[in-house]
Amino acid sequence: MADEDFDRELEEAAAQVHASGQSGTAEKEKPAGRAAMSAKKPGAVGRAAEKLSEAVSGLRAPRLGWRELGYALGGLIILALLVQNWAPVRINVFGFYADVPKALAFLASLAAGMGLLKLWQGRAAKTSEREEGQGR
Amino acid sequence: MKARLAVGLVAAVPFLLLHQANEVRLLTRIERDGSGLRMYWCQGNPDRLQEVRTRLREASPDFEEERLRITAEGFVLSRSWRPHALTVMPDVRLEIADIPQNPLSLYTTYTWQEKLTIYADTATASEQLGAGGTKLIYILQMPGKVEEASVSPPATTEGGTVTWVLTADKSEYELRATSRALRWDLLAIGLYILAVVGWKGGGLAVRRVREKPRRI
Repeated sequence: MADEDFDRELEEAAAQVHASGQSGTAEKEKPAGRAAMSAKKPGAVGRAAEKLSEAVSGLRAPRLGWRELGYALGGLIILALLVQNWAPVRINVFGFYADVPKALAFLASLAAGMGLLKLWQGRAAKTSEREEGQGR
Repeated sequence: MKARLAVGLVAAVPFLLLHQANEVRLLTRIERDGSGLRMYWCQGNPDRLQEVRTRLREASPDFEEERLRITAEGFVLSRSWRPHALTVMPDVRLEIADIPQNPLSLYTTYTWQEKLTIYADTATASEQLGAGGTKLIYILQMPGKVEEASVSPPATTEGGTVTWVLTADKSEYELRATSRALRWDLLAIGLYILAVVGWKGGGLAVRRVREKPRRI
Protein backbone atom coordinates (compact mmCIF):
# COMPACT_ATOMS: atom_id res chain seq x y z
CA MET A 1 0.00 0.00 0.00
CA ALA A 2 2.81 2.36 0.98
CA ASP A 3 4.70 1.38 -2.16
CA GLU A 4 1.62 2.19 -4.22
CA ASP A 5 1.36 5.61 -2.59
CA PHE A 6 5.00 6.23 -3.20
CA ASP A 7 4.66 5.21 -6.84
CA ARG A 8 1.66 7.54 -7.29
CA GLU A 9 3.57 10.43 -5.73
CA LEU A 10 6.51 9.68 -7.98
CA GLU A 11 4.27 9.66 -11.06
CA GLU A 12 2.67 12.97 -10.06
CA ALA A 13 6.06 14.53 -9.45
CA ALA A 14 7.28 13.26 -12.81
CA ALA A 15 4.17 14.65 -14.49
CA GLN A 16 4.78 18.00 -12.80
CA VAL A 17 8.41 18.04 -13.87
CA HIS A 18 7.38 17.12 -17.42
CA ALA A 19 4.76 19.86 -17.47
CA SER A 20 7.15 22.48 -16.07
CA GLY A 21 9.77 21.37 -18.56
CA GLN A 22 7.36 21.83 -21.43
CA SER A 23 6.34 25.27 -20.20
CA GLY A 24 10.00 26.13 -19.78
CA THR A 25 10.73 25.32 -23.36
CA ALA A 26 7.67 27.23 -24.47
CA GLU A 27 8.89 30.26 -22.55
CA LYS A 28 12.27 29.86 -24.08
CA GLU A 29 10.80 29.58 -27.54
CA LYS A 30 8.72 32.74 -27.19
CA PRO A 31 11.57 35.27 -27.60
CA ALA A 32 12.72 33.40 -30.66
CA GLY A 33 9.20 33.68 -32.02
CA ARG A 34 9.19 37.43 -31.28
CA ALA A 35 12.55 37.79 -32.93
CA ALA A 36 11.13 36.08 -36.00
CA MET A 37 8.14 38.42 -35.92
CA SER A 38 10.28 41.59 -35.67
CA ALA A 39 12.42 40.43 -38.53
CA LYS A 40 9.31 40.59 -40.71
CA LYS A 41 8.60 43.73 -42.78
CA PRO A 42 6.38 46.14 -40.76
CA GLY A 43 2.80 46.66 -41.97
CA ALA A 44 1.19 49.91 -43.08
CA VAL A 45 0.30 50.81 -39.48
CA GLY A 46 3.83 50.00 -38.33
CA ARG A 47 5.35 52.15 -41.06
CA ALA A 48 3.02 55.03 -40.24
CA ALA A 49 3.86 54.72 -36.54
CA GLU A 50 7.57 54.71 -37.37
CA LYS A 51 7.21 57.81 -39.53
CA LEU A 52 5.16 59.52 -36.84
CA SER A 53 7.69 58.72 -34.13
CA GLU A 54 10.50 59.99 -36.40
CA ALA A 55 8.59 63.20 -37.05
CA VAL A 56 7.80 63.70 -33.36
CA SER A 57 11.40 63.04 -32.33
CA GLY A 58 12.52 65.55 -34.98
CA LEU A 59 10.41 68.31 -33.44
CA ARG A 60 12.30 71.02 -31.68
CA ALA A 61 10.86 73.74 -29.49
CA PRO A 62 10.96 76.99 -31.51
CA ARG A 63 13.53 79.53 -30.46
CA LEU A 64 11.51 82.54 -29.37
CA GLY A 65 13.63 85.48 -30.42
CA TRP A 66 12.41 88.99 -31.21
CA ARG A 67 11.95 88.07 -34.86
CA GLU A 68 9.69 85.06 -34.12
CA LEU A 69 7.68 87.10 -31.62
CA GLY A 70 7.33 89.84 -34.26
CA TYR A 71 6.06 87.29 -36.79
CA ALA A 72 3.54 86.04 -34.22
CA LEU A 73 2.39 89.63 -33.61
CA GLY A 74 2.00 90.12 -37.37
CA GLY A 75 -0.04 86.93 -37.56
CA LEU A 76 -2.22 88.07 -34.66
CA ILE A 77 -2.84 91.45 -36.34
CA ILE A 78 -3.75 89.75 -39.64
CA LEU A 79 -6.09 87.35 -37.81
CA ALA A 80 -7.75 90.27 -35.98
CA LEU A 81 -8.18 92.16 -39.27
CA LEU A 82 -9.70 89.11 -40.94
CA VAL A 83 -12.17 88.54 -38.12
CA GLN A 84 -12.98 92.27 -37.87
CA ASN A 85 -13.81 92.28 -41.57
CA TRP A 86 -15.90 89.13 -41.47
CA ALA A 87 -19.09 91.15 -42.16
CA PRO A 88 -20.71 89.65 -45.26
CA VAL A 89 -20.88 91.40 -48.61
CA ARG A 90 -23.36 90.51 -51.30
CA ILE A 91 -21.87 89.24 -54.54
CA ASN A 92 -23.91 89.12 -57.72
CA VAL A 93 -23.13 86.06 -59.84
CA PHE A 94 -25.21 86.50 -63.01
CA GLY A 95 -28.35 87.27 -61.06
CA PHE A 96 -27.69 84.83 -58.23
CA TYR A 97 -26.72 86.54 -55.00
CA ALA A 98 -24.33 85.14 -52.45
CA ASP A 99 -23.41 86.67 -49.12
CA VAL A 100 -19.70 86.07 -48.55
CA PRO A 101 -17.59 87.35 -45.65
CA LYS A 102 -15.62 90.39 -46.79
CA ALA A 103 -12.30 88.98 -45.56
CA LEU A 104 -12.93 85.73 -47.43
CA ALA A 105 -13.84 87.61 -50.63
CA PHE A 106 -10.61 89.59 -50.29
CA LEU A 107 -8.53 86.43 -49.74
CA ALA A 108 -10.25 84.67 -52.65
CA SER A 109 -9.58 87.56 -55.03
CA LEU A 110 -5.98 87.75 -53.77
CA ALA A 111 -5.52 84.00 -54.35
CA ALA A 112 -7.13 84.29 -57.80
CA GLY A 113 -4.77 87.15 -58.70
CA MET A 114 -1.75 85.21 -57.46
CA GLY A 115 -2.82 82.12 -59.39
CA LEU A 116 -3.34 84.09 -62.61
CA LEU A 117 0.04 85.82 -62.20
CA LYS A 118 1.75 82.47 -61.66
CA LEU A 119 0.07 81.01 -64.74
CA TRP A 120 1.04 84.04 -66.80
CA GLN A 121 4.64 83.92 -65.59
CA GLY A 122 4.82 80.18 -66.30
CA ARG A 123 3.53 80.70 -69.82
CA ALA A 124 5.94 83.60 -70.41
CA ALA A 125 8.87 81.48 -69.20
CA LYS A 126 7.85 78.60 -71.51
CA THR A 127 7.51 80.95 -74.49
CA SER A 128 10.95 82.48 -73.90
CA GLU A 129 12.48 78.98 -73.53
CA ARG A 130 10.89 77.93 -76.83
CA GLU A 131 12.15 81.06 -78.56
CA GLU A 132 15.65 80.46 -77.21
CA GLY A 133 15.53 76.86 -78.44
CA GLN A 134 14.48 78.00 -81.91
CA GLY A 135 17.24 80.65 -81.96
CA ARG A 136 19.92 77.99 -81.43
CA MET B 1 -32.06 107.52 -59.66
CA LYS B 2 -30.66 108.49 -56.27
CA ALA B 3 -34.00 109.92 -55.16
CA ARG B 4 -35.81 106.79 -56.33
CA LEU B 5 -33.37 104.61 -54.41
CA ALA B 6 -33.80 106.71 -51.28
CA VAL B 7 -37.59 106.47 -51.54
CA GLY B 8 -37.31 102.72 -51.98
CA LEU B 9 -35.26 102.38 -48.85
CA VAL B 10 -37.52 104.37 -46.56
CA ALA B 11 -38.79 102.10 -43.84
CA ALA B 12 -42.42 102.55 -44.84
CA VAL B 13 -44.52 99.45 -44.54
CA PRO B 14 -47.81 99.32 -46.46
CA PHE B 15 -50.72 98.61 -44.16
CA LEU B 16 -52.18 96.25 -46.77
CA LEU B 17 -49.07 94.08 -46.55
CA LEU B 18 -49.63 93.61 -42.83
CA HIS B 19 -53.34 93.08 -43.41
CA GLN B 20 -52.99 90.46 -46.13
CA ALA B 21 -50.17 88.37 -44.68
CA ASN B 22 -50.52 86.24 -41.56
CA GLU B 23 -47.20 87.48 -40.21
CA VAL B 24 -44.74 90.14 -41.38
CA ARG B 25 -41.27 90.59 -39.93
CA LEU B 26 -38.76 93.29 -40.71
CA LEU B 27 -35.18 92.47 -39.83
CA THR B 28 -32.32 94.96 -39.61
CA ARG B 29 -28.91 93.49 -38.90
CA ILE B 30 -26.05 95.86 -38.12
CA GLU B 31 -22.57 94.50 -38.74
CA ARG B 32 -19.49 95.70 -36.86
CA ASP B 33 -18.34 97.86 -39.78
CA GLY B 34 -21.66 99.68 -40.19
CA SER B 35 -22.83 97.61 -43.13
CA GLY B 36 -25.86 95.43 -42.64
CA LEU B 37 -28.82 93.46 -43.82
CA ARG B 38 -32.38 94.59 -44.29
CA MET B 39 -34.96 91.87 -44.83
CA TYR B 40 -38.71 91.61 -45.05
CA TRP B 41 -40.21 88.22 -44.25
CA CYS B 42 -43.88 87.36 -44.80
CA GLN B 43 -45.96 84.29 -44.17
CA GLY B 44 -49.48 83.77 -45.43
CA ASN B 45 -52.08 81.71 -47.26
CA PRO B 46 -51.28 80.73 -50.86
CA ASP B 47 -54.42 82.47 -52.21
CA ARG B 48 -53.01 85.80 -50.97
CA LEU B 49 -49.52 85.29 -52.39
CA GLN B 50 -49.92 87.56 -55.42
CA GLU B 51 -51.26 90.48 -53.38
CA VAL B 52 -48.63 90.07 -50.67
CA ARG B 53 -45.87 89.88 -53.26
CA THR B 54 -47.10 93.11 -54.89
CA ARG B 55 -47.22 94.92 -51.54
CA LEU B 56 -43.85 93.58 -50.49
CA ARG B 57 -42.25 94.74 -53.74
CA GLU B 58 -43.87 98.11 -53.17
CA ALA B 59 -42.27 98.28 -49.72
CA SER B 60 -38.82 97.20 -50.95
CA PRO B 61 -38.42 98.20 -54.62
CA ASP B 62 -34.61 98.26 -54.59
CA PHE B 63 -34.01 95.08 -52.63
CA GLU B 64 -31.85 92.64 -54.59
CA GLU B 65 -33.01 89.24 -53.56
CA GLU B 66 -36.42 87.61 -53.37
CA ARG B 67 -37.02 84.11 -52.09
CA LEU B 68 -40.26 82.15 -52.07
CA ARG B 69 -40.97 78.88 -50.32
CA ILE B 70 -44.38 77.24 -50.53
CA THR B 71 -45.30 74.63 -47.96
CA ALA B 72 -48.50 72.79 -47.07
CA GLU B 73 -49.28 75.45 -44.43
CA GLY B 74 -48.77 78.39 -46.76
CA PHE B 75 -46.02 80.48 -48.31
CA VAL B 76 -42.95 82.21 -46.94
CA LEU B 77 -41.74 85.15 -48.98
CA SER B 78 -38.66 87.22 -48.21
CA ARG B 79 -36.85 90.11 -49.84
CA SER B 80 -33.43 91.27 -48.70
CA TRP B 81 -30.87 93.97 -49.32
CA ARG B 82 -27.33 94.23 -48.01
CA PRO B 83 -26.08 97.82 -48.07
CA HIS B 84 -22.39 98.66 -47.62
CA ALA B 85 -23.53 101.27 -45.06
CA LEU B 86 -26.92 101.32 -43.34
CA THR B 87 -26.72 105.10 -43.10
CA VAL B 88 -27.65 105.41 -46.80
CA MET B 89 -31.23 104.84 -45.70
CA PRO B 90 -33.23 107.98 -44.98
CA ASP B 91 -34.83 108.40 -41.54
CA VAL B 92 -32.07 106.26 -40.08
CA ARG B 93 -29.20 107.23 -37.81
CA LEU B 94 -26.35 104.92 -36.95
CA GLU B 95 -23.55 106.19 -34.76
CA ILE B 96 -20.49 104.07 -34.17
CA ALA B 97 -18.04 105.15 -31.46
CA ASP B 98 -15.05 103.09 -32.60
CA ILE B 99 -11.30 103.45 -31.93
CA PRO B 100 -10.87 106.88 -33.63
CA GLN B 101 -13.83 108.34 -31.70
CA ASN B 102 -13.12 106.68 -28.37
CA PRO B 103 -9.58 105.28 -28.34
CA LEU B 104 -9.25 104.53 -24.63
CA SER B 105 -12.40 102.44 -24.21
CA LEU B 106 -12.46 98.66 -24.32
CA TYR B 107 -15.84 98.76 -26.05
CA THR B 108 -17.22 100.03 -29.35
CA THR B 109 -20.66 101.58 -28.97
CA TYR B 110 -23.41 101.39 -31.62
CA THR B 111 -26.47 103.63 -31.51
CA TRP B 112 -29.34 102.98 -33.90
CA GLN B 113 -32.32 105.24 -34.46
CA GLU B 114 -35.01 104.79 -37.07
CA LYS B 115 -38.32 106.37 -37.94
CA LEU B 116 -40.68 103.75 -39.31
CA THR B 117 -43.93 104.61 -41.08
CA ILE B 118 -46.95 102.43 -41.68
CA TYR B 119 -48.99 103.98 -44.45
CA ALA B 120 -52.61 103.11 -45.04
CA ASP B 121 -53.43 105.29 -48.07
CA THR B 122 -54.89 102.55 -50.22
CA ALA B 123 -56.67 100.67 -47.45
CA THR B 124 -60.46 100.86 -47.20
CA ALA B 125 -62.20 102.04 -44.03
CA SER B 126 -63.28 98.50 -43.16
CA GLU B 127 -59.71 97.25 -43.61
CA GLN B 128 -58.44 100.01 -41.37
CA LEU B 129 -60.88 99.01 -38.64
CA GLY B 130 -58.77 95.98 -37.85
CA ALA B 131 -55.56 98.00 -37.67
CA GLY B 132 -55.07 97.33 -33.96
CA GLY B 133 -54.83 93.61 -34.57
CA THR B 134 -52.47 93.94 -37.53
CA LYS B 135 -48.91 93.47 -36.36
CA LEU B 136 -45.39 93.95 -37.64
CA ILE B 137 -42.55 92.27 -35.81
CA TYR B 138 -39.44 94.43 -36.05
CA ILE B 139 -36.19 92.65 -35.22
CA LEU B 140 -32.96 94.57 -34.75
CA GLN B 141 -29.68 92.66 -34.48
CA MET B 142 -26.72 94.66 -33.23
CA PRO B 143 -23.05 93.81 -32.61
CA GLY B 144 -22.25 92.95 -29.00
CA LYS B 145 -24.84 93.24 -26.27
CA VAL B 146 -27.81 95.60 -26.34
CA GLU B 147 -27.56 98.00 -23.43
CA GLU B 148 -30.61 100.14 -23.99
CA ALA B 149 -33.70 100.06 -26.22
CA SER B 150 -36.63 102.43 -26.64
CA VAL B 151 -39.55 101.38 -24.47
CA SER B 152 -42.49 102.58 -26.52
CA PRO B 153 -43.58 100.15 -27.91
CA PRO B 154 -42.16 97.71 -25.34
CA ALA B 155 -39.00 95.99 -26.51
CA THR B 156 -37.80 92.48 -25.81
CA THR B 157 -34.04 92.34 -25.53
CA GLU B 158 -31.91 89.21 -25.67
CA GLY B 159 -28.14 89.51 -26.12
CA GLY B 160 -27.62 91.54 -29.27
CA THR B 161 -31.23 91.32 -30.48
CA VAL B 162 -34.13 93.67 -29.82
CA THR B 163 -37.68 92.81 -30.88
CA TRP B 164 -40.56 95.24 -31.11
CA VAL B 165 -44.15 94.31 -31.96
CA LEU B 166 -45.67 97.24 -33.84
CA THR B 167 -49.38 97.56 -34.53
CA ALA B 168 -50.87 99.32 -37.54
CA ASP B 169 -53.17 101.60 -35.51
CA LYS B 170 -50.23 104.00 -35.15
CA SER B 171 -48.73 105.38 -38.35
CA GLU B 172 -45.27 106.36 -37.11
CA TYR B 173 -42.77 104.77 -34.76
CA GLU B 174 -39.40 105.91 -33.53
CA LEU B 175 -37.16 103.02 -32.59
CA ARG B 176 -33.86 103.39 -30.79
CA ALA B 177 -31.27 101.02 -29.36
CA THR B 178 -27.70 101.09 -28.10
CA SER B 179 -25.25 98.21 -27.92
CA ARG B 180 -21.67 97.68 -26.84
CA ALA B 181 -19.16 95.27 -28.37
CA LEU B 182 -15.87 94.33 -26.74
CA ARG B 183 -12.78 95.32 -28.74
CA TRP B 184 -11.34 91.82 -28.29
CA ASP B 185 -8.87 92.30 -31.17
CA LEU B 186 -7.25 95.31 -29.60
CA LEU B 187 -7.35 93.59 -26.22
CA ALA B 188 -5.64 90.45 -27.59
CA ILE B 189 -2.91 92.46 -29.33
CA GLY B 190 -2.35 94.60 -26.21
CA LEU B 191 -2.16 91.55 -23.93
CA TYR B 192 0.26 89.85 -26.33
CA ILE B 193 2.56 92.90 -26.41
CA LEU B 194 2.42 93.19 -22.61
CA ALA B 195 3.22 89.48 -22.21
CA VAL B 196 6.17 89.68 -24.62
CA VAL B 197 7.56 92.84 -23.03
CA GLY B 198 7.09 91.35 -19.53
CA TRP B 199 8.72 88.06 -20.46
CA LYS B 200 11.65 89.55 -22.36
CA GLY B 201 12.11 92.42 -19.88
CA GLY B 202 11.97 90.02 -16.94
CA GLY B 203 14.55 87.75 -18.61
CA LEU B 204 16.86 90.69 -19.22
CA ALA B 205 16.54 91.86 -15.62
CA VAL B 206 17.29 88.38 -14.27
CA ARG B 207 20.34 88.11 -16.57
CA ARG B 208 21.62 91.52 -15.44
CA VAL B 209 21.29 90.52 -11.77
CA ARG B 210 23.16 87.24 -12.40
CA GLU B 211 25.93 88.91 -14.34
CA LYS B 212 26.46 91.65 -11.74
CA PRO B 213 29.67 90.96 -9.77
CA ARG B 214 28.95 90.17 -6.13
CA ARG B 215 30.76 91.81 -3.28
CA ILE B 216 32.75 89.35 -1.16
